[in-house]
Amino acid sequence: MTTGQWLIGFHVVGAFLFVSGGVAVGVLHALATRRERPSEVAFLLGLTRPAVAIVGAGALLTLALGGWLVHHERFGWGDGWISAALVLWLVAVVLGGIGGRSARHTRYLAEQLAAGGDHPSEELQRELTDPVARTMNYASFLCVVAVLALMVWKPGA
Amino acid sequence: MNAVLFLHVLVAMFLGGGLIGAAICARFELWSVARWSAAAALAATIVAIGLGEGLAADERVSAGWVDASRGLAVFGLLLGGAGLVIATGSSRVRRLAAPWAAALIVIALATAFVMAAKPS
Repeated sequence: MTTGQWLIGFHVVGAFLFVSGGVAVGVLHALATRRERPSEVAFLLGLTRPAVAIVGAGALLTLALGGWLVHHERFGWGDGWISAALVLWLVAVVLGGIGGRSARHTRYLAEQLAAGGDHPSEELQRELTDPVARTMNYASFLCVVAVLALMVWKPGA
Repeated sequence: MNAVLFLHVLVAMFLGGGLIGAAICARFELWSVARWSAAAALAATIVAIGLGEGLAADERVSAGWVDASRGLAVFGLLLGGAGLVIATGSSRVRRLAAPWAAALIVIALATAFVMAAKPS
């Protein structure tokens, strides 16, 4: 196998970890929004942590091997589809980071409420269904899907 | 063809998400969600295999890497995924569900690697 084949293979593996981990985080978060008891919410949001670690590892692997591939295959950093993919990757990571920070704050609140009697709380429900955080997360995912589309179609290549 | 390839990869990534969700939920004994995730992953596997076969037929690709990825997908992900759905539902083999799901994640990543690198 050539170096280029190894690079593209692991680049795609990184992309799988990135997107698949994001799907798992989204599903677990959506399940948490359907629960009322703070202990259940805290448990479900806690389960997202290993999936978030997978997302982070995939994002880094994708970027590092993607950069190496650009160099190895002699693509130009200024090529439209490559620069657009880089910008979208960065936007996805930033938006996902902001959405993730909000989810972490919600988990801390759920843990406090669980320790203090485990009664349903309107504040917790508001945090769980925060439209700003939800929009950030959906926008982050759409950016990743757009990167995938750029990698498949390679417009202008 | 690019649209089919895009859908094939996207569905395969959802399959990976289902397996990760099933592995985490099985590890923490959240069995109803683990089973639901495993069933979603199995459905995604069937769709991904169908799209992949359509791609291979249209492009008339016949190579070792296609056979290898087909073997991994059918004998690993499809049969293994069906086994995972059963394992998350039956109390006698539930303890195997989390490592089983983790093994399927590795098989899914290996399949993605083979299809992207096209070794032969």
